[in-house]
Amino acid sequence: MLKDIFNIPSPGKPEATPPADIIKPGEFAAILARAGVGKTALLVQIAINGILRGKNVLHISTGDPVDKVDLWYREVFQRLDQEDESLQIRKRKDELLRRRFIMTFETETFSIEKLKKRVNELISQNIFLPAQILIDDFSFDTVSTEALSDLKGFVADNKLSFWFTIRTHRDEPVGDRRIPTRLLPLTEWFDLMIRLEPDNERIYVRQVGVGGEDDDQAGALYLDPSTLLIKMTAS
Amino acid sequence: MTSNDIMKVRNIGISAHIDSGKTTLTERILFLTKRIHRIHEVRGKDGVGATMDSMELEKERGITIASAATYCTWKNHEINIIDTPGHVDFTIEVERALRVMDGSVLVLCGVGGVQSQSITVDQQMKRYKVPCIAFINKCDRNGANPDRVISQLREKLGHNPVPLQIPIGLEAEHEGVVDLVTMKALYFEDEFGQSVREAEIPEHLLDKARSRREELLEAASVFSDELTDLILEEAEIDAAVVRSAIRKGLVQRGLTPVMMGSAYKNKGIQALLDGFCHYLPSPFDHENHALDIDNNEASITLKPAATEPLVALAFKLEDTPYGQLTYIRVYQGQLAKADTMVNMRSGKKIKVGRIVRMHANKMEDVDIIPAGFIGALFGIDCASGDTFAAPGINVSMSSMYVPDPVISLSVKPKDHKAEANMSKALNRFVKEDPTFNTSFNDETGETLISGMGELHLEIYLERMRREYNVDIITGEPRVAYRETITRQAPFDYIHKKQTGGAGQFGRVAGHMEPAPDVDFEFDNKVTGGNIPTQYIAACEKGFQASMKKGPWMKFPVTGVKIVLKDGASHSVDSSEMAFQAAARGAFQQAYQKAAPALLEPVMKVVVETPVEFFGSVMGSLNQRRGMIVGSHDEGVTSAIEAQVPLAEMFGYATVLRSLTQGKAQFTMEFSAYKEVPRSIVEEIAKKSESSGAGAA
Repeated sequence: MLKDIFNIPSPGKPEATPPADIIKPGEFAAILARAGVGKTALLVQIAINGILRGKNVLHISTGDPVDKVDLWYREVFQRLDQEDESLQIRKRKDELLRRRFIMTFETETFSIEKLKKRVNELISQNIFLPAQILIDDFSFDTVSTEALSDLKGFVADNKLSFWFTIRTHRDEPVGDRRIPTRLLPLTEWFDLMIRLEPDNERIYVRQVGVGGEDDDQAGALYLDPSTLLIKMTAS
Repeated sequence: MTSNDIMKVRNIGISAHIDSGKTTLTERILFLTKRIHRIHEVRGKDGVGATMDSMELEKERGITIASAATYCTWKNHEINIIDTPGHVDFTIEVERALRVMDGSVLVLCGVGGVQSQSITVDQQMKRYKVPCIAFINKCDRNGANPDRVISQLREKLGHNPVPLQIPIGLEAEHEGVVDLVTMKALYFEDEFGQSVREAEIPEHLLDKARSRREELLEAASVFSDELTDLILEEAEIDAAVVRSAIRKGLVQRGLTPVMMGSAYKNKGIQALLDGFCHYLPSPFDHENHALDIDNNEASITLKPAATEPLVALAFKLEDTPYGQLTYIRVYQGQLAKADTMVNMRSGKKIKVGRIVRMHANKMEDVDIIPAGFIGALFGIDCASGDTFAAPGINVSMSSMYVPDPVISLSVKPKDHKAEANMSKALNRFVKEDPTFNTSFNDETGETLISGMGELHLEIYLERMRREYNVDIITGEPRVAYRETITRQAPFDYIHKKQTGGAGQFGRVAGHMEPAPDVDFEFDNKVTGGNIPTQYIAACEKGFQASMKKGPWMKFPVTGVKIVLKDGASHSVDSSEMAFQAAARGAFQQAYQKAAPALLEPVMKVVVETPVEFFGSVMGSLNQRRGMIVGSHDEGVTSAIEAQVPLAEMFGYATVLRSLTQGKAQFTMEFSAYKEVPRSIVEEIAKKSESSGAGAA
């Protein structure tokens, strides 16, 4: 079932990742990939996975307008509907879309402080109570450790789980676990890191630093190149 | 007029978001081209109002309602300008303007940037393939940031914006612009900026200007081999080569030249006028098509030459003290006084009488409107959107996209005397505006007016009061609800009447099922002649007639597919009438079993608010059964986008004003029909029962 495929298994400790939640409230996860590989597609599917399980999802984007982000959701919903009718997406579309809130910022005026303020307003006025926040194309270059620590505290206090996508570059130097060196100091903040890797006409979804990372053995996850939906290699 | 002259004609529209300064800009253009001799501001202290806002109401409210056409000349070019309203409710005016324009100016606020209505207008321009220049206005305002607006043009509208200028100073220090094509600084001096002083680029802007020019040349070179070669050879590049490349890019809608300034402070207007001449297409550059009716409506390209047979389009009607004034654009041939032409819709031959050139509400008599030009005719009986052609040719301009009305209001004249005037006014408005409809409800004896929004109807009511002296009693605004079905249901109905006169007999059997993507679909699967072929059409007609008023709540029905599978007839008693009656009976029989649901128009609402009111605005939308799609934070302001049922939006303007101290504004346009929640259906049912139901 597609619904199950969304739950990214952790080959090292399968039972440690509950089938329903990829990360727990208060945790950070990151998706690392080069531009154009499918970070947003994966992020939207993670969001929809939450939405389908009744969770409210706040999608944040710096740069893209609301309409463009909305279009991603509509497209993924449509493709999922074509692939798995049992999800009843067409019938439930309005109800599902009510569980999603898109918040976009101008890149130059975005800050964690501002983000917290907006989310606080949503929560305190009971306008939208997110369980999961996803932020697309987050630049860690200008973020201080204090700001991250503050955000982690905020996320824990409000029982939110937080996903980031981080753009990597083809030729940048990498260190331990093939993580770009500029991102190495940040790894301790993340409870889960996922890498998208194009390989032999497929884009594999792999957990960073987990054994067998480079295998494309049975049961590996990948993005279908035609639909960008997550699929699992035949077992 | 020779083809050379046509090359110097520009038919342009000026469109933008509310309060971006379109009308102020037009006023400056008219002043600088010497069409008017004094500048009057929108809501100006002199109380005169802008020249283009000729209707009393427009001057009072400071908004443009009906677009006025005018023309002016600049450096040997004739520029026909249509000023268009910014409010979404008057979108048909914008559509009409774009239909007859070869190019457009998209006015953007230097502070607000690409706002919701700019997006709607841009979509309309795309629909009619109208290329545009972007003009970033209000560079003198606090918070003006042209670079941000340029990146929004790219991100929000998907344009390829190419700045042709950079500002010299911003906000209170805005003095002029640097022209990146000629690499000169332009300052606008004297009281109304009439004198343009060309000077060297200020030292502190030189590096920026050079790097921006590089970007400009790179973007323009995509459209010109000559320019590419010159860049590769590192040769000196003549301004004419750059302009020609930009023009090519613009005409193909491959790039959007961006100019800037401040209309209110008279900065950058002459440069923009030069830009019209250099870059915007002439009627020759913009291909226009018509449908050849004799050849299965095949598309034909019109040639803007005087020697070709006439093809012209009436795009706007206006009632004046001298009779009906018809705005017309000539696409092919020429329109001369005393010529005969044919209205292609009615087939009527018409002799051309008085021809005028319009300048807002003043006019000048002319003898000819050549191809590519816009003018107006007196004494022609036609509707908006009619095509006129020379006798002997049978072509029609493709029809304009007309959205369905979503709101209605019952109107009643206060006294018997006013009745005739009201009907006269309504007849005129319906002819002028295809998005404004009237209907009469036989059951309640009420006249209903329908339109695109509260403001749209309000303006017509006000016009009735002022122009026709009719005092009107209005009912509550009503939403155009629709009924639909949600599951399949069978029918098997016999219509039988044998008492007195000729008998009637017809049996129809089959099922109805939901068809969300169409209004009505009919599928005949009757075999073996159980219903004789000659009665099938009558069955379809009977079912279709039932769709007009739903058996459940008396609203029009939509999204139904009828599958007719079987039936029976009688050799003597069956007739078309009997099968129509059988179909109506079958519809009634199956409808309740098909789980009917009520649909309501849901609007896309965008509220632009200072961020301090973010929470309150969100709350106000939430309270109105709104589904908030998202918000876009733009620094000091935030744009909140939501889907809200129209029924909940009545009076929202007042609520928003009080919530935000009048600092927020919103736009609203029809998005889709969606199912009404059960709890609300009951309320609507009660209301529609007491008011004699539906018919919205």
